[in-house]
Amino acid sequence: MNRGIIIAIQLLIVVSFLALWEIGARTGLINPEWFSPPAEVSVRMVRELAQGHLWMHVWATTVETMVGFFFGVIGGVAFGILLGMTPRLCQILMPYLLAIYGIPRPALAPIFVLWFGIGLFSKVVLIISLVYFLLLIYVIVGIRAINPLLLRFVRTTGASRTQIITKIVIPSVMPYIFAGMKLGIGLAVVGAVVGEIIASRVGLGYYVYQAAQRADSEGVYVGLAALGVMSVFLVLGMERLDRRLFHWRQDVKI
Amino acid sequence: MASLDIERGKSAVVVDDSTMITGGRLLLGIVLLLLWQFYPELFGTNPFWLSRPTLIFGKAIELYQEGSLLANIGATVFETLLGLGLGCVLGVAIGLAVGATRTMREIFEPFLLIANAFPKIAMAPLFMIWFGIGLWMKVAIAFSLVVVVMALSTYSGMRTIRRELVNITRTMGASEGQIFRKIVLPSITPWLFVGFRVSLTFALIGAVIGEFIAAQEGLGFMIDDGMATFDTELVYLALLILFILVWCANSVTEWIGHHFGIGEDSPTMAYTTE
Repeated sequence: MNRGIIIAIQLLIVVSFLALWEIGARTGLINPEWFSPPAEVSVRMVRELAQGHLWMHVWATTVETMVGFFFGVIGGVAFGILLGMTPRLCQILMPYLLAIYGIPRPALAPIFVLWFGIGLFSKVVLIISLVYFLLLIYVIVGIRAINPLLLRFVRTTGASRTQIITKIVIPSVMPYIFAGMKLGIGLAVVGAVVGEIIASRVGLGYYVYQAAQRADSEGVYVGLAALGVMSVFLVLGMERLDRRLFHWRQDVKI
Repeated sequence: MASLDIERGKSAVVVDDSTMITGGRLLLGIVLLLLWQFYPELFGTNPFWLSRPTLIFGKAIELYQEGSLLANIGATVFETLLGLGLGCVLGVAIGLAVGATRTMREIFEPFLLIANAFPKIAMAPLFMIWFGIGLWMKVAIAFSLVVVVMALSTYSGMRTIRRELVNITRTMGASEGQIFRKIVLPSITPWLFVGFRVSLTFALIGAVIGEFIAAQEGLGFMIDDGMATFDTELVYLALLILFILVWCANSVTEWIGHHFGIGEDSPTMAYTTE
């Protein structure tokens, strides 16, 4: 079907959904204390943005997400390459790494609060625990996928370890790193939100949770909308970057 | 979170010194366990921070005899399974509907991708307003995580079905039911399987986060209660049980996958977030 018609239908769906919601809440068909009318939510949203309260929370969540994501990626890639290049160590550690990977890490949030307090640091650690192991495993799988003949060949031509890493290993695992980052950015946002719901004084997760505690559903929707825009922006942005850089490869399989 | 058959990779970087590797693994395990048990004496730290295996084990026995251990595990498992079941039913239905025709795909794909990119876990407080602090709040959180994963994996499976195959069989006079059973179902089964594996863990996480927010029982409640009373044995015991539950679930699904040959060329869940 025509691209324009598709977009028109999509807009129609969104608009009629919001309209039904608005009408339902106004006429009392659906409980307005549960489903605040979208018009009031947007008014509140504009007010909060103008007063600047919301920005502080958006900023806090963004900082947590980006800092945790950054260190998780850097650490995961570095340790992944180290393990990928030392197969024996890798095989010894692998069952343990997979075991840690299998822990439902958002459930560890209270432990990180216990260890690191309720500030930025405990959220960053939670995010790192999510992103680090993901990247680690993607990088190891990526290194395994390098053609062994290529490695053997450059070794016979006298390439040093550093040369092998910079000229072959890193370029080969790049698509895997980006595939891991694509997943990791979403996990990072989740980690930040979970950390903020458990214990925090700032951030969008905290904002939503506080609003819910006051039974202020308008505030909940404002927080969720802000969070939605932020995470969709980050996740789809990452996806777009990945597609632009690695459009030539097939989906990375792990 | 797809199946990670790293162990069986066939590449030059894999060495096969099986005795050394098994020995190394065992040794590492024993060292870690001993460190965990004796770190307070070794480093002079307070055993409060990490607890100790023997203390955790003692706690498990104590709670088991008291009867609360199994009740708490049961509560969490019940919430998880309820959220998982409901989420799978609706998720698969959505995936089938969105993947049904090209027009449906073009219209609804962006909605699926946005739902996937949204951190569903943040809706937990909203569910608290909607459903109170009882069972259904936890079920709703688990459900919200599962439904998107299942919808997306079913949809991804639907996209791999070859149009011509369906057209040819239809020309040969196959009914819609036959097409579904003979073509659609076999094509999407591996995807359903992978989605289900991811969903198991997600549902459990959802239930536990719900219990963090408000609960009177369950593993999340044990963790929360332990934190509130500075009873770290309780916290680590609950986490350990959670880990064992995930491990069992993964082992069972892996076994089923191998037994029925489903997960063999398992597709990637290229983009799922909680």
